[in-house]
Amino acid sequence: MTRRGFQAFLFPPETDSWLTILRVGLGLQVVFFCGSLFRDWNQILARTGNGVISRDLAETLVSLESPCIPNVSWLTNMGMVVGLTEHTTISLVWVLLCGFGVLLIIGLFTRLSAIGAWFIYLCVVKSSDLLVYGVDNLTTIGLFYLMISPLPGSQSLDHLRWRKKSRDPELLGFFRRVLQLHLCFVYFFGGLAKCLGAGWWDGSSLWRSLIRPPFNVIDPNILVHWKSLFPVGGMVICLLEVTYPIFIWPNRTRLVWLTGILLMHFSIAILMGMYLFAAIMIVLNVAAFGPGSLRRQPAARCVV
Amino acid sequence: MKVKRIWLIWFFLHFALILAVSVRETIWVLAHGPTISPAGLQSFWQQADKFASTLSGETPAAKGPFRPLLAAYEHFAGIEAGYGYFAPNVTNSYQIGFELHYPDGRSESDVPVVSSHAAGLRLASLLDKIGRTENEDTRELMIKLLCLASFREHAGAHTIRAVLSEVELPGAYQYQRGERPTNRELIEYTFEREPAATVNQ
Repeated sequence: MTRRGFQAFLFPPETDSWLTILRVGLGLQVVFFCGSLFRDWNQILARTGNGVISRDLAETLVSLESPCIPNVSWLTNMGMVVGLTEHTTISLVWVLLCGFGVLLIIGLFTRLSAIGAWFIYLCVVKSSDLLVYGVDNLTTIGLFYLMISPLPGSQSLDHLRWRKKSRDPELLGFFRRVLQLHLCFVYFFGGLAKCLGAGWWDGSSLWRSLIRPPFNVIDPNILVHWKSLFPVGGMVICLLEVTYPIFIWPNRTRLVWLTGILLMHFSIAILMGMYLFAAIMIVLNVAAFGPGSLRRQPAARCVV
Repeated sequence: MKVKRIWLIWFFLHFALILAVSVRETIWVLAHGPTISPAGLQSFWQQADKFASTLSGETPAAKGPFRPLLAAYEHFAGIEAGYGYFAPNVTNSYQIGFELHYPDGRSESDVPVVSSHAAGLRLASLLDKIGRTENEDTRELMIKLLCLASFREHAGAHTIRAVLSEVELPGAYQYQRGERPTNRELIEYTFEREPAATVNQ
């Protein structure tokens, strides 16, 4: 590929439909994240002796990597300056995060909401670093890209009220490419790591992931009847993931791979109870490769 | 044009970091196994792992002035960790149980409790981290912090015995033959209630 060809690949003129999907999807994700932890919020973010595990320990471990990484203690310290108790500030953090999520869904003050949602989400996950899993990294990735993308997009309240919309179709295309390429890395390295384990080839890893607490949503007595399908299922997952960067690009195979990946994540939600993890992967995939998958998008339709 | 150039530079730096983190994790997986990589290559991967660890600034000696800035950026962008979920193999899970002892000789059992399934997934993630950590002091500290929460719930208890166990999962054919998940005790700690019930860091 020539330098000009590479630039054309990285900066294709695009509509903002993918950005709308990302914004609304991430808004919903943030709201569901807040809703799912509503009853445990203060316990998860409490200091030593007041919660499930101390936020102090997580914050200390993270700050050893860099003191610039934000955490909830930054916010509680700010709260103390204006006379708010620790408990009130932590509850306020929940309200703010949920509020930013709602604003993202409706597309009001989108840039501010995207920055706010990213910052508060980052504070929360870094302060509960001992309790995080894949969903938090992937949501941070999505919020980070959303925050730096050309917001607000034409299907937002910002556009309706102030006629604001993203002006540069090439930049819109660039950020979509960034998200697409990042997903290729996610699946390739995720698939490669699975391919390296014998368990994904003989089906034992698939079986174990379904009966392993707390993912044992389906009774193993039912699952065991399907044991002969586990080796095939394990191989399909490995191949689907590791070949994602190859087959997601051509128009002929994109829909098949995208559907396969979406089905895989839908199954993860239903069979393992990992609803938030499945949701963020579905949002990122649909935003990155959804628009234009059913038909070729002519360049003339791009927003100018 | 200038804006494009700036974004291009960012693009290369950003993806170089993603690639470095992902390759680093893949080498770690190969070095720590078990994988399908030939056993003869194990020492090669272990050497590569040491080299990558130095290169990525994980060892204190390798930490330069830019490392905290790079680490901060990686956390901002959510790219500080790789993507090898449930890989290379699905490990056993971990459980923790508390035995609370009261001054009058009574004792009762307890487990860490959260209110929702979403928080339960996070608690399981914490137990996995406790189970897999190689640093004994970190493991003890994390379990002690979990015990503090239990001390708070049971104000009268003066001692807690915490037992971390590994849940060994049977294969599908073994399960069909009647085998069931079994708990294997890994480690136990006994903590006494401190006057202020706090942990010094």
